[in-house]
Amino acid sequence: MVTGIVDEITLDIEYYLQELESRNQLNNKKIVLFGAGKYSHNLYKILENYGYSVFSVIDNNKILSNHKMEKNRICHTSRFFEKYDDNYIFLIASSYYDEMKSQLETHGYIENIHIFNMAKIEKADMWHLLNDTRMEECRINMEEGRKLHKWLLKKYGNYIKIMINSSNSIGDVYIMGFYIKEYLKSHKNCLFIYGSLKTKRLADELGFEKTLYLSMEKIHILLLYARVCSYDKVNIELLHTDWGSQFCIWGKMLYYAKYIWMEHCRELFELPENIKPKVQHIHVLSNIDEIFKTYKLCEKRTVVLSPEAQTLPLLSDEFWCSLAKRLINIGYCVCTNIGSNKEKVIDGTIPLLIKLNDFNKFIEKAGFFIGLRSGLCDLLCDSSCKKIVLYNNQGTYNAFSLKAMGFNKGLSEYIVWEENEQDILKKIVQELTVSDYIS
Amino acid sequence: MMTDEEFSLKLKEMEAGYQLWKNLIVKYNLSQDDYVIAFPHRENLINKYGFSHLKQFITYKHARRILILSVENNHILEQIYSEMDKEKILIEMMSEEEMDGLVTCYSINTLSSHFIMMSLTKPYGRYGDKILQKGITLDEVVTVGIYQMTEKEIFDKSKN
Repeated sequence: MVTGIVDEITLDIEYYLQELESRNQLNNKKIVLFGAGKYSHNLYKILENYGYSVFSVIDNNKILSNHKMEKNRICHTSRFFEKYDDNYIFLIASSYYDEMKSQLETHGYIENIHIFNMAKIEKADMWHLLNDTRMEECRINMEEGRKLHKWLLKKYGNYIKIMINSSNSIGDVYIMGFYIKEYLKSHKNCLFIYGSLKTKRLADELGFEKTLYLSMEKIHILLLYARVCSYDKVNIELLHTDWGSQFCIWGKMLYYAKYIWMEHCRELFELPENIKPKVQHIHVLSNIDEIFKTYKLCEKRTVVLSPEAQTLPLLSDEFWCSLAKRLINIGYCVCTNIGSNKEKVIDGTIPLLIKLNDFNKFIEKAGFFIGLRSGLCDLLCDSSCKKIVLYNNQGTYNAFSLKAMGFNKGLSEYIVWEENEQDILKKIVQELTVSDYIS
Repeated sequence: MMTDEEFSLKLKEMEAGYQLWKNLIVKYNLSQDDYVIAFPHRENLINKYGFSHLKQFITYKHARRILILSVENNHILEQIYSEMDKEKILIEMMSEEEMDGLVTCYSINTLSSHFIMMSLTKPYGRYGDKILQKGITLDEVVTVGIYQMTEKEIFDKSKN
């Protein structure tokens, strides 16, 4: 969005970094990045390129605690400042440099000894996020959006209702599938657009009759066109919350209790409250027995660990490794579910690339699933296997709890903090030790 | 289907909104400690909550000045403004047409992290009205969802 500014800032950062290097000010220091924004992330990557490792990333925003910036977990300032360390060097790339500097000074750190401004970011920029260049881009995108809309009407007819799903979350599409048949009873002429082939395929399976894949770039252009021209006028609907955008209040209250995603899906389809969600089943593609045989897995004694998630920040590798080790020790076969060959495999576990369609059936046979809350958990909501779903903080639990959605079958949910990791590990192992599921 | 003429009018509205925005930045010499709050509705309960939390917002954000943008004949604003600190709170009244231009402009791109739209429905995609049906009060939507006085509220709430 503000590429020009970011590029200038990269140059700034490199300049100041070279200055620090020339004065040997980084030698034997623990580098702490204050602020977890995009400029700070930029700084992180540049430091890595220069061969420096970051000791810690800190931020005043509690919501970011436990999220990760590259390899580092973001730490809340209140915890970080508990202990003074003269070896800390605070590097800041933020428009709030002055405020951050004052905050550090109250803890005994000194500018140009411990505190360095790595990019002179003028706060005045904040009033010019929409500038002539960006306006020109928007004008072009509006024209493109109009062309794309005309093309869709030509292909699907002038009366087609275009429903855009701007999220690539399989879980969200799966939950929407609980209502789709009911919706299509009274809405015959709808086109559902998805931003990934994975979500489009899943929507096809779930009975979203007319579906189309468009790149996310095209989806954003179409949404921009619809937003400016008014959605009603162009018969386009946003089949999601747009919660990542600056407009969406729902997104800003995501971690605020009381809001249940499944109910929201019903509302997106404008269905009355008496319409109950209906779990849809998708076709199994593989021979599950064959997979069990190939990997020598034991039926009802296999745990599938799922450490990855799109929305939630990840839990530490140590947590997963320790969990895997303990489960192996009490006699389970332990696998890591990987979405692609690039994903990390938890030490000591068997990597498994399970197809989306096969997931439910596979876990049923395995008996156990332990995963960070992700779309896969939605897919298992109705499964009779033992499911342990993990969250990183109260906010994510409030927003995404499966229990709150009414799925209690075989389900335990835990919030994992750095401080309670050991307790949670014990609880999980205890659950699986005494579990009736062990035959 | 939108006609070419209607589309061309929308582009003009977007352009007018952009020019208005640029002029406001210059006219009020907006700085890093200022905030701009747009009140696009004339008669709406949200105005009342928006104003009643203004002082709290100023303290929370350490704001130097607040520029309020409002459509003309905003009666709640007229009633409350007499009691406001006029050095800290500035007001720019505008026609509905001008406000629409500004909303359109905001709907294409963030104007600033210090720009706030006091509306549950404008621009499209806010879902503020839907949240209200979920037992969340308008007061909570204004403080947490719009003013984003988040930390205290979120974490107090999540302890319950």
